[in-house]
Amino acid sequence: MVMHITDPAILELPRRRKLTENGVLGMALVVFVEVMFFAGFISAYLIVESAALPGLWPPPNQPRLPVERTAFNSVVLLASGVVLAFAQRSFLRRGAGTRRLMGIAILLGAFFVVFQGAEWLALIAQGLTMTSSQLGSFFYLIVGAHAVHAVAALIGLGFAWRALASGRLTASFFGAAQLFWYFVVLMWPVIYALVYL
Amino acid sequence: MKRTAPILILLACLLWPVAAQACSACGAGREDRNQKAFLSTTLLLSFLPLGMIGGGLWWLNGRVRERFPDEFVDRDA
Repeated sequence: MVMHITDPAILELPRRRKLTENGVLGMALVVFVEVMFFAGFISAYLIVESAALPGLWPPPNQPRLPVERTAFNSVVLLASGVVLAFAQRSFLRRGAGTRRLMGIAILLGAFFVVFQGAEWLALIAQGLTMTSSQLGSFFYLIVGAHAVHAVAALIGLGFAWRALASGRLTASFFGAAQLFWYFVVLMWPVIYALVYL
Repeated sequence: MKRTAPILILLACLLWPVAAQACSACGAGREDRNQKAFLSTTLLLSFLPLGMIGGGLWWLNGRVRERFPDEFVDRDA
């Protein structure tokens, strides 16, 4: 039996108002978990570093981490986050430059990942590997986990960029992709300060 | 039984510090620097999730006030 609602009071109910987009809420929960994931790694790293004998951290037979070059790369990553914030402002105003700004943010993020990859290759060639020392193990674990997150976030932003081009980008998807990228951007200075410096 | 109960409780209390040694923040750090690292990371892992939950609630509160200023008008009237 099919029932038809004819009561005008019910038919004219206002649409349910949302506190935030579903995608953004879901991504916020993911980010919560991911922050704890990195906090666990960083805590383990700090314990191992503090247990090393004085003058033996970083291990003397291991290459030094490229502090200056990575500082430059960190600035590139932060710039990517700033550009994405401008892209969001443009998106909310339905501005014409959203796609270009998103593209710049994605390119800056991709530059960060590629630059990190190049640094890794140099470090491996110099003898810093997963099994060469505790520094190597933690370095590749923490920085590698961050790189995996960066790649995943870039893929999400790439999908958002394509959806924007075809006029199908929703605020929910863009907000979720954006939140994940901000997490990647803001987690990096913490990792840099603790692992590199 | 009434007399032995306080003694048993007292003995249990005396055993507590021994149990506390199983806590990494209390017993694992052999040197000062290592002990501080255990303490600071224990604080980090304990309070970070609470801080994030608190931050989320604070944001939620602000969001409700911003988006639904008239939500509870009828009820409060």
